[in-house]
Amino acid sequence: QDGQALSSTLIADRVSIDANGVLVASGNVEAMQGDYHLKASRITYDPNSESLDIEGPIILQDGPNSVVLADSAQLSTDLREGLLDSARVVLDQQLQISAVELHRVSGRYNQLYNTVASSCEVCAKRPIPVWQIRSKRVVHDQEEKQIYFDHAFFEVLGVPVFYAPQLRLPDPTLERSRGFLTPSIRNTSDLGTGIKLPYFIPLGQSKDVTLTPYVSAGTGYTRTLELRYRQAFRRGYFEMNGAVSNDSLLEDELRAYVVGNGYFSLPREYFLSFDIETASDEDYLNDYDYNYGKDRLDSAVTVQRIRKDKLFKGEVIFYESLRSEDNNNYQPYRVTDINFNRRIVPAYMGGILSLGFDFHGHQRRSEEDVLGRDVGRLSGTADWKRNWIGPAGLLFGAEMGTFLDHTAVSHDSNYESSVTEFLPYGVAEMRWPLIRQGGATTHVIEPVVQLVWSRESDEDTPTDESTQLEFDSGNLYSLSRFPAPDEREEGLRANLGLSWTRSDPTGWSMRWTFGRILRSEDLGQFDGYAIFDGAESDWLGEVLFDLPNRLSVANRATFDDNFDFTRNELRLDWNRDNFDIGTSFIWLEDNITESRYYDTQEWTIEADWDVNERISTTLDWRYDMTLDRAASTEIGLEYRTECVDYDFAFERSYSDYDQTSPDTSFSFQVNLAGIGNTGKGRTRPVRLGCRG
Amino acid sequence: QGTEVGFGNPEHDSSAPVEVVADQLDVQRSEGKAKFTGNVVVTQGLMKLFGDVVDVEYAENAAGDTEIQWVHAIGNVTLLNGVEAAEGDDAVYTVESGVVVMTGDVLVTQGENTMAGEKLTVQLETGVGQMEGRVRVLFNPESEPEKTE
Amino acid sequence: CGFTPAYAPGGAGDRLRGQLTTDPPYDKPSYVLVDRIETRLSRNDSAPYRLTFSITYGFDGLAVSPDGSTYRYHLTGTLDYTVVDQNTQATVTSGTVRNFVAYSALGTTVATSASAIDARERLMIILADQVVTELMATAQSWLP
Repeated sequence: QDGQALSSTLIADRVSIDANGVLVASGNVEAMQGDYHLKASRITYDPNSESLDIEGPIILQDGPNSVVLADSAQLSTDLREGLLDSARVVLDQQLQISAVELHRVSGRYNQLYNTVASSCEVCAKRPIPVWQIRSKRVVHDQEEKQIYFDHAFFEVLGVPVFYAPQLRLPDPTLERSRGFLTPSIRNTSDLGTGIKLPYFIPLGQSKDVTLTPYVSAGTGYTRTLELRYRQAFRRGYFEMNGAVSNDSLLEDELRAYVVGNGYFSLPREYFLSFDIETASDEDYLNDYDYNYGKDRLDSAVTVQRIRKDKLFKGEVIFYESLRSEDNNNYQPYRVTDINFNRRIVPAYMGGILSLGFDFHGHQRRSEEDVLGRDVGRLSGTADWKRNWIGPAGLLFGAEMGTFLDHTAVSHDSNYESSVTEFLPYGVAEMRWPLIRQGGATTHVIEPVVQLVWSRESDEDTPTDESTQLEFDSGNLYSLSRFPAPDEREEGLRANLGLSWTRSDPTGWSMRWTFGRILRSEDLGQFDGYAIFDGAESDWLGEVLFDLPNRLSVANRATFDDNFDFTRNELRLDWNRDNFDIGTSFIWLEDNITESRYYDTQEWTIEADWDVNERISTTLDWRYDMTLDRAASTEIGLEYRTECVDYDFAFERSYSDYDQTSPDTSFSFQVNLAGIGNTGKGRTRPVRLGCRG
Repeated sequence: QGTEVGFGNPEHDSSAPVEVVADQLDVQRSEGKAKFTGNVVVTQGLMKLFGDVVDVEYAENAAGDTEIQWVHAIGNVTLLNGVEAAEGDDAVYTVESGVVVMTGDVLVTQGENTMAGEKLTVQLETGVGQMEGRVRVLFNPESEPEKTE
Repeated sequence: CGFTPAYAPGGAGDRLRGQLTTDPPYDKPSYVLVDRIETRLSRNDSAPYRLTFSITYGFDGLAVSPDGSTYRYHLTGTLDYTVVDQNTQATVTSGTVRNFVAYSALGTTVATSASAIDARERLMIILADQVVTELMATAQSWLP
């Protein structure tokens, strides 16, 4: 349809015209038409044939991502039709297709004959690239951004390993093109060596499906089909990952998993989000590394609207535990939480009045007495708080309010079926922050004394939620150390704390915090929790260092008067441009009430290091000090050349307490650069150049 | 067959008489010079040279007749020779050698194509033109594709 | 020894009261953060300065048992804040505070869910207190 040639421009230092009007341009010769731009040493134009005879070296830039190099050529004046000799097409500075001849057809198709295609750099010192595709003919459709190979031999280090009569690959600049993504080879001790071959299918602008068959053999076998479905909506997004397998680990069973999530913004600023997680059996996710670090699957639907002084959140969660020690019959499997909150600034009183209404319900599948207990709870809260400046820089604070909890219990004869508790409370607080300014460094010391009273409840309700207690500067001054309203802290107690902050924005800063809780009388609420039991809680000690070049160390410990630690957790995070290291050490004393039957002592190191633009390594090491052996070690190495990425991953972990021989697995992945837009964020390593 | 293009017309004869027509003529006989001003047209055979002002130099030839040796046209200069047309600010025609050198935003139209440069040298007998300076050629295809044998 | 009470007349704490309003919260944890900051700095909806904040979380599974269950989690939080002059929209000061909280994933599913929610809200209280302390410490350099 566009046989009509387009106008084009030729520029040169000298142009001579002979008697027949033949132009000969020489000296920095350039020809341009639209976004085609050609450079050559000499161009001859014959008005009779309306064509250009071009002598090389020729560089034809056709479009932003495609360059054609050739020795000589004969093209139409608009550079859209014609023939180039010993041409080399370079696409997106990556994939190079060299050929004896290149035919340009209507500015859209480049047809190359006797071609070699590769993104590896080829030079005298390295004549054979790591991979190349040798074929009789290649057609590069620049409009559809597809490359068609006829009679193609895929060669690795010069050795043909794969033949295809017809092969189609997306050109590097194409995104979301239907076709195979990069295959990967995976080897694990359970499933042997296998290959994953992902196939991407775009469905219009906003949907796509990726199907990945995974077949392996050797020490085990698997026939697996993985699926990923994604859809973007105008006001939302949905993604689902799943897989179906038949393998040697569970011979006769079909194993499957589905993990999906999505969100939608609803009218009047409401926001809906949901996620689905289910698996056919406990080990499936672990065996195939689909585990997303999940040992308990939760599927949830959440609707919420959060504004400056108004909060609404409604959520239903369905649990399915994969832990060997959990019996899904006796675990709460359906949990509903609805929260309302309103904050108001009362006219005369000032301060902040907060009114809340919360519903919580959790059900167990079993109907048995005690083991199948279901709990429902309605809580009303009203709270008013305010602070004033007193004499000598003291800051007084007052807070008063009440909880109204109505708890309904079923399938548990130990508890009344419904109980209502009215629990008023009052708080008096005194802070006395002191500041010392010294040049860039400022010190702030802040002692805090808080007196809290809340009415003791004479009712007894089950405690399914508040079974794990923590003590840190986040709840040192809070109304209750119990994480959920199924238990409220009672009686008269004093929360005492002191924090010292040295802050120097240009240098380093540090923050110490100490705290303790003193009770007028031990009501036995915290029996079994060593940190909080008795009339005096453990000491809380926290230190936080923010050191130059993004190194931060944080340590939190609870210990009693003679420095006998109940908990000690240390974190060190250091991230720089080319590496980041995170190491954590935790020591948790055993605590039967919290079902921690052994002391937990573990040291982990996580490090990612980009050695240089070609090599990057990752390390994930976990040492179980209680069992005195490395619990798991994962080492990853990626070597990137201009045309291939090699990813190695080595993983070793112990899967049983007493097992001596660990599971080791080794996986290996090869990505061919220059085939399709892999969308990888990082740029390709620059070519070394032939002298390299 | 193809359109006849190029500067040449083989019949050009440098020894043909040169005729100059202008609105006004000032002659300095002693120095063998003349200055023509106003719509000056210099003609030799098929070749025509237009300009606002043309200075001419005379000399006796071997046969004793006075003859124009050298023509210098200035201002809106146009050279017509066969099908080609070249425009510029200034042109010098050395009759004996049959060479015209045009300078100053020279523009040559050749059928649908145009060529612009700083200096154009034309051999009238051979029809060979040489354009120099950052030459820019604009190829415009004929409106209807031409069938060339 | 060079220390002066922050809430003595003209002290940093005293000058800071009622001078900041915060960006609106966007989820339950940030609702707690805004409430804590407004309580500590005394709320004033038409304050001359506005505090903007953005929080990024990190999640670390620890105490992994041999059969792959994770019994301890560290939740790290990094809060980047700026203080903006309401009428000139110029940023007068900014900073970053970070810390972590921990919670156990033992016991029942609802126990873990309650611990996780409570941990995130404790982290908000910690980060809010650190922002208030840093604002008091730097007030001299940006608060007229």
